[in-house]
Amino acid sequence: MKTPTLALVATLFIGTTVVSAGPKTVILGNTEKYKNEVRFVSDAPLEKIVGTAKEISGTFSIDLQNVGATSGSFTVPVRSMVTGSSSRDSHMYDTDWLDADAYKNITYNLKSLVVEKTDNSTPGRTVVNGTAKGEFFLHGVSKPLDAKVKITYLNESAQTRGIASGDLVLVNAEFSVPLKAHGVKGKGNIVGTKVGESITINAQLFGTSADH
Amino acid sequence: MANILRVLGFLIIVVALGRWGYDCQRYGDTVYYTKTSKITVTSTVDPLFGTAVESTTTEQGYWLGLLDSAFPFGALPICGFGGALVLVGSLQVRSRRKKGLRD
Repeated sequence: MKTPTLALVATLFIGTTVVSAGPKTVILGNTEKYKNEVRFVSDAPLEKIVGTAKEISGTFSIDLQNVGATSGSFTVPVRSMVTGSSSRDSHMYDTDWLDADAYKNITYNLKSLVVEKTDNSTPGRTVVNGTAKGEFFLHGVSKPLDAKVKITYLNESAQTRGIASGDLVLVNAEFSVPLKAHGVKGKGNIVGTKVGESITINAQLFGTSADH
Repeated sequence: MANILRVLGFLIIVVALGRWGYDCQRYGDTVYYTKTSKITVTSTVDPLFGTAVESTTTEQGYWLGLLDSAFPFGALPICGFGGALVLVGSLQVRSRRKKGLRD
């Protein structure tokens, strides 16, 4: 009688381990407390513009045993970007700038992650610092782009279930996008005077694992 | 009429600069170009994630800019218009005085 019980316990244990290991698909979504937000900053001699976008969608696959293989895709609709000035926003969507009618979305395809530091010191929490490698699609032009990222991964627990079911993942990313490289020329000589030649982007992404 | 133009021009300058200064104070920064919403970023250390979590809030409103050269014009072009009225009024006063001296 003992042997089948042990076998059952062992099977259950191994089964649980198998379920929690391996790649997990994380789907971005907002909760009351944690929101997906992108903040972009143009720092030009004549003006500093701070804008936001909140309609971010995306999924990525992450395996804590092989974080380097993390991959996924994130999308921001151009028309969800706002800068605090409605007239400037409409200029931003124009053909001279982001051409929102022709190129509705800005996309980042994450291909891999170069891990610099992993911290497992807190039980149930894994923090990974590294550089994301991927392709950034803006204004019809796709260019390779590296982003500094910090991924905080929380295993599902009684505490996390109060927020959402599944494992919780918070990603903080920072990168810079050169406008010229993506064919965004702007009107006249505005780029370099009123709009920065590069736009600094800070993204905060929140998601939950779908495999639960 | 000349004096009305001068007073009107002066009032336009005072109101435009006053409104711009007041809006800068309300916005908490120098407003170079007119803004229709204010984005505020707050960052707090989240105990669950053990890292900073940011949230942005957007306050709708109207803050007059300084340099807008198209509608809605900024305070500086409005002051330029006010200054032009003062100038036209002053020229009229001057020409009237000259005419009076000649007569």
